[in-house]
Amino acid sequence: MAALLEAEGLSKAFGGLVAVNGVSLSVSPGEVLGLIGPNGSGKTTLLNLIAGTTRPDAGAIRMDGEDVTRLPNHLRVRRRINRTFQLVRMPANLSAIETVMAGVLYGAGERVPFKEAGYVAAGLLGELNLLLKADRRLDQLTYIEQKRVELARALATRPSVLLLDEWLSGLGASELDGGMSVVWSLAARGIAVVLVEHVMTAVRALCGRVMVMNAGAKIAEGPPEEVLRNAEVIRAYLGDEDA
Amino acid sequence: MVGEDKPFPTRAALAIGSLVTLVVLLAALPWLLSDYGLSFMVSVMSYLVLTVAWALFSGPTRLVSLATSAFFGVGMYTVAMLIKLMPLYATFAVALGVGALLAGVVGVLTLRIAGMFFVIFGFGLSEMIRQLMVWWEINKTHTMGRYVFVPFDATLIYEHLLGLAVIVFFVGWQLRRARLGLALMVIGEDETVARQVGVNVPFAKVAIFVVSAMFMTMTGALMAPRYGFINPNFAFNPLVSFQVVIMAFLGGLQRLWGPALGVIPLIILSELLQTEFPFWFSVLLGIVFMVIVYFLPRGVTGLIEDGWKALGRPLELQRGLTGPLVDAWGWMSRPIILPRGIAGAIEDVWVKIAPQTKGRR
Amino acid sequence: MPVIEVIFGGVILGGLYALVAMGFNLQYGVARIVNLAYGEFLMTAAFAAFWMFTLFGVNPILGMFLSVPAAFGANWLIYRVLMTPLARRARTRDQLEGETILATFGLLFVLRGAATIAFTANDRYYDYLGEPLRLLGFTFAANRVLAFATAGVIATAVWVVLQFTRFGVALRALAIDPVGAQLVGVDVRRLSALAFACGGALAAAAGTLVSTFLSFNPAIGIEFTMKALVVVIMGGIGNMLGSLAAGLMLGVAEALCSYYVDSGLTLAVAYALFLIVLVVRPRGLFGTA
Repeated sequence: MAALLEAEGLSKAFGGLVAVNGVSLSVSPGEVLGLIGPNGSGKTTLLNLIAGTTRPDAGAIRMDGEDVTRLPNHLRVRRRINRTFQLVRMPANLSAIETVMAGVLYGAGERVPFKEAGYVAAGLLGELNLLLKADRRLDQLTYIEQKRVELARALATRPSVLLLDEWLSGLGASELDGGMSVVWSLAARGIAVVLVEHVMTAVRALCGRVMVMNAGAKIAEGPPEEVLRNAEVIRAYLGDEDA
Repeated sequence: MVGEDKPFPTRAALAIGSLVTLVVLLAALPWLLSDYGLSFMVSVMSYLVLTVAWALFSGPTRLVSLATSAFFGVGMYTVAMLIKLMPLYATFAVALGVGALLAGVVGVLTLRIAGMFFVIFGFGLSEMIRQLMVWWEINKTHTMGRYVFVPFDATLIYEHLLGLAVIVFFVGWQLRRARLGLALMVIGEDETVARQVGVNVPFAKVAIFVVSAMFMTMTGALMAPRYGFINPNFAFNPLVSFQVVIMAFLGGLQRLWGPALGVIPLIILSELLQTEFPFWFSVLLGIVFMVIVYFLPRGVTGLIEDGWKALGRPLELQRGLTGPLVDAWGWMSRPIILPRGIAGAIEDVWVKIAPQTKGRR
Repeated sequence: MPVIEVIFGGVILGGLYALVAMGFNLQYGVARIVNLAYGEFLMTAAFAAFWMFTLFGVNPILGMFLSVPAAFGANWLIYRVLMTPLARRARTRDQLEGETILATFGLLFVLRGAATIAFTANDRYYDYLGEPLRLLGFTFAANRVLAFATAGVIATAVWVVLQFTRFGVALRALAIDPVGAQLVGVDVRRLSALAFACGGALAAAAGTLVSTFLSFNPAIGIEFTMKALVVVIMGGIGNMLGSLAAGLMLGVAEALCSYYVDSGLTLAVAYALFLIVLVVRPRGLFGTA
């Protein structure tokens, strides 16, 4: 299948620190691409570059053939790229449904009338088993519920590329199953998912392809079993003496 | 929030009916009040529009605008400059355009960047325009002050201001039911999230800033005929910005009607201060404001809401007056907690003092 | 009058603006307080110098040994009493900025009103070293030259303290990264209070110098606050040398404007510079991008 999102040679440096160094990436509709690597290897920065949270120093990003490298964050949302944050970001004094409604109203595609946005948002929250918590504020939700609300906010803008930053981390065993089935269902409806994750069970189960980053560069890419056996990857994770 | 409550159409009708009655009553006031009462109501109405317009922008975005007097002054001085050249209503229209343009330029320049720049820019804006106008009038037009003599008396000014107030409330009310209003709330909470739901953050801020500034400019324009003689020092008075901020904070920003609650008390206070202690006016106003900032961060609205909640809460005496008595009896009849006797107590203290010696049970 | 003389005049004025801005920079850059009442302290010190001079014939430069420590103490108290509760209450830096803006906005009207009651709204002026002085072939008023020299001495002293003493290093660390500074053992509250007080002391010094060669009234505070803000933003927040350079630029620009256009447009010049910075370099002319 043709790639939906293509990034080529993305680089970003903060002062002297090169956080991402010439990384390319592509993902197709319905595919789950795993993005793994040790802490500080540049995974979140790469996600920020794709989502438009930060601008790359070099490289290009194409969405559906259109160059979006220069587009600001909100216009990339309207080009159907959205994300979740590693640490949940949700307006503290708004209810879950209001946050999701904002996404429905400003998202990609045809404009939804204000009166209908509430129903659409409620539907999204319902899909994620949150309908009964729709009127709660951030501090009235559990950690897992917050993560789900954030996903609903991202889905509200009708993305076709979804970047999940450690969305499955911190979940217990039973919650992990639920979370994984949510991600699987996203892919099943044709969304291209980029999954930054440390939970290897989830990566093995969900991803058709895995990309490994270390020190800002891509060091391996391929099917999960193959990549995770790769000596270089083990070295990156465990250090030289263990390899 | 989801959809509308339709089971009580009578309730909506009641609300609309009472609002219409209120407006009609207010509209009839000029014929019921003395001259002094009318001039009081003119200043109430003008500050009402200014304060609610201020809160349209500063409420959701949480950016304190100190530029109110700049827009108010622009409205007033534009009318004063043009009154000999064109009909009154035409001057109003021009003033509105100038105010909107100024707000657009200021907004585009400062609202893209950190909020700090916007606040600072607004802080000196009115003073800068005043300087420019003084210079212009002295060197280019050789006039120091302008006369506005038009058949537009206090009653007419009041009725126009009332109309403006109705519009500003309507806009504020509609905003709570609109895309832009929700976007502004998200922006005020977290701009990163706002961008991530697809909101064009700078555009939304500039848009509401322009709308808010247009109401302020219009108020200034309407007030011009109130004063026969206007010079730049009079039109661009920094105290206007200050009073509007105080009124809004006194009233509270959580509700649309909140800022309005701050207007009347402060105008009464101002009148009192200005007649009783004219020299102390600015000092006392400053103190009042600092008291609000330190002790009433949610304003009068907050107090009312707390009071309302306290009234609505069930009294915590479900077990009746006997409840506390039962508790007290239970407490008194509880066995004294010294099962190990005084020796036990000493032992506990000893264990604490000398942690290395394991206390024997 | 040749242009070069106008520019020299501007440099002299700019040295003073640099001093004003350095004080503001200590308060904003280090203590994180946006003090809208900053100019009111400058105005108060100007009046103090005026009264000491006209009533007791105290030399304004000597009078600074009284007014500067007094301003230091007053500002330290203001930080302790008025700003500490806000600093405790604020959860983010933006929130702290917002709340301190409001509180000092109130303070501005209190101080300005009090000054109007005490000193009346009239313009004040006193004649101190008004005689002309010939320097490098140009003629300047002696009091301006003295003000510039004094400002230069004070600014250099501040820079030396910031650059070469333990206290100065701690202040700069606090300006760059409050959390990191705390981790290496800097007492943030105490140091912020001291930085705020030092800022106020500089305002008093500047106010005294202003009073020697300009007329003043209780309403001049806002204009100096505004100029300090503009200079600090131009020079970069927390950057003292930036303040110096930007202050000189503002002084020269203002002198040129008052020579070629009109002397009543000083704030417009400051705004024009502010606009250029906003459009071209929002992080300040010398700030790190």
